[in-house]
Amino acid sequence: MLDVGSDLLRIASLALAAHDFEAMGQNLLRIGIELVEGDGDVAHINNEYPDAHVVITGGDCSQHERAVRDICARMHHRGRHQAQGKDLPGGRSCPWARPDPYPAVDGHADLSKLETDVGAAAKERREQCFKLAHRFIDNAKKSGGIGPTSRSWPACRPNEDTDVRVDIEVKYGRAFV
Amino acid sequence: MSATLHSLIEAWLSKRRPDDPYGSVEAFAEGESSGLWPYAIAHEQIDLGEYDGDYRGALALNLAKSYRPYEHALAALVTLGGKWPASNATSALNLLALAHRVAPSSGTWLDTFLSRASLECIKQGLSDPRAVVSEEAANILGGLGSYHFAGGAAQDVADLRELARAVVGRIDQPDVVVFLNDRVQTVLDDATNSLGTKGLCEADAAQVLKEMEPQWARIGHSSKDLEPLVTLRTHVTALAWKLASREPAAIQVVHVYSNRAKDKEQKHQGWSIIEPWFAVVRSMVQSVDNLIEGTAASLDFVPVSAAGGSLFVTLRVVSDHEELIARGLRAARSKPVMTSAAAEELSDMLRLQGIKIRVAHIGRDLSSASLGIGPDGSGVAGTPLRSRKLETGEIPQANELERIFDLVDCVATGRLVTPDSIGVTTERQVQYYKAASRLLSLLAEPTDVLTRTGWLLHVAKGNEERYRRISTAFEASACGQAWLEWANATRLSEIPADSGEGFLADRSALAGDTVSRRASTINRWLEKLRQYS
Repeated sequence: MLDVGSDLLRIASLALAAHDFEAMGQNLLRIGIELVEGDGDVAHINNEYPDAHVVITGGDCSQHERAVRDICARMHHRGRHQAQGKDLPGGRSCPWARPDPYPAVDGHADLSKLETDVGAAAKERREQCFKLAHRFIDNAKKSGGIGPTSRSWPACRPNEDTDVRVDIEVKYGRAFV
Repeated sequence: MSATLHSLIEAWLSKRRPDDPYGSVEAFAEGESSGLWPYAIAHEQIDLGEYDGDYRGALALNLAKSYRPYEHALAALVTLGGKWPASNATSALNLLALAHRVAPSSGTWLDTFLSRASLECIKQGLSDPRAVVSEEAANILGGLGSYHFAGGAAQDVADLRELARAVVGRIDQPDVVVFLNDRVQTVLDDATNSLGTKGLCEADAAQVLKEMEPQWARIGHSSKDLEPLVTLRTHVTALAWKLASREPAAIQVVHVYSNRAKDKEQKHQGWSIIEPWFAVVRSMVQSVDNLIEGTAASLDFVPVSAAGGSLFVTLRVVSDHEELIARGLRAARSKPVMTSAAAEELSDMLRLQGIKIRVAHIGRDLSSASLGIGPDGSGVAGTPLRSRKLETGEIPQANELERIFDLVDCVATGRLVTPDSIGVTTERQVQYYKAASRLLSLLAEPTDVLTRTGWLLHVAKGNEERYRRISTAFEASACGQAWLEWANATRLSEIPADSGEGFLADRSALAGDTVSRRASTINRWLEKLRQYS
């Protein structure tokens, strides 16, 4: 019997937040679930989240479907930190997806993780952007948290080369409580 | 065939989820390809007078995400041009995002007004006591281009510079201060160098409203779109005047219109509506704030503009009691009827002329209130009656039945109905007798041609036969039937004499002195007609 506990919860929630189902599939393979795109005589996951349209083959499909559907339904608080720029092709992101509001302390931790992930040079180029993003998290906490919004540091001027940027996107629910 | 505004509003009302405003707005925006989705939500916001709720923030966020200037500029103007959401930081942040997103690009008047609304929004953001909002406003200010200042004046730049200095000065990280300051000062210096105007003036409001005409045709094009379109147009008209006004006063637009094609010529009679409207607002303020003596007396209106088509009359409100006016308007909207004598007078006039009015009130702080009043059969304030009570238009206020006979004879013989021809002294009395003839089904609405019952009255031989026939007509009218029901009677002769006041107090939406005045009329009718029933 497959353990649909913490590993699956973590993998599925991160994949949902990042919209990265390739990574989700690879990770789930390690714990015995195969995910493939397309139709089949297998279970479809979660019609409520079109982005999470994946197909489970192998194992007990209905059980896996239920498990992932439950996980999706519980992830009411989602968003991501992002670093963007030409020096980071495709950008780098650090998502969150959780059943309870996203605490500011976790926001700082994830943002700091992103700072590390982008590398020293990219981090240095975005030093003020990261500082402003951290200030935003602190200020949001003082206001009791915030709901869905999308912020960028710096806010780009029209026609400005947006080469160096840090974003925070609160997609659903509340963050920085 | 593209979606109509009316169908979109219906779709929105069925899809909105109060437990998930952001999710429902996002789903609605993604599910509608017409580009009109923001107007359905904006219409609801105006109608409810909401500015602090999550729907406005969700509308701003989704507009910012998928902003299409030609399709969404008007919706963005409505969204940005409202009162600042002082208790909703997320909405405030999303308004700032929209203010940043709507960089004018076309050089149109609408873009210029949008720029003005955006700058006001950023000023409000910089003045916000919550650091999460004010620091973000400084960040957004540092991301503006010179086009963003198309509707700005030198004073706006000075204000923004001062406000931003205060916000950045409170930041305790010197390198962040330098970073933000550099960006903000660069933007404001560029704006100073490129400002070609002295900001907006009131003449510009007329320009932008003229420019918007094709937009309205695009947004609403079916007969069912008329009412929501009137709501949006009236609000935007008031908002445009407010944004262009240099004087710190509230702006009110009274929009006089008819939704019946045959009444087109009557729209132009609208000025006679405006003065009665003053009395209605004064009575509203008095009823809202009856503890303050003389409040209403200090309330005045200065007409600043009028435009044709449906008649738009723009008024500057000269009063220190704007909030009371807005509260009065909102209270009138939430009740089935406005009950003051002034409101009843106005309602009668609207009914007699077959027109409606929609009023938009924009306060100094851009808070808004909107109210529709019209003879639409659903109550004076245009909201559904919660129980079946007689409306004012169903209760006669024409005392002399003989004048009704004269009026019917005039119509039957093709003569003009004038005060002289029916033996009264004023045109208003003529209108009362026409209304009485309609409620007795002697004249057809809205054409005022003779009905079969009216013809029977005209050809009746002698007064006794006439009274007998008009007695039957009264028993069959809404008022007569309700009175019979109330008195548990089957004919007028069974109704207790002088019971009109008790009946109207129970079974009508009238209040105050109006009840006794109308009761006096129906008591006289009853006294005369009971012997013929």
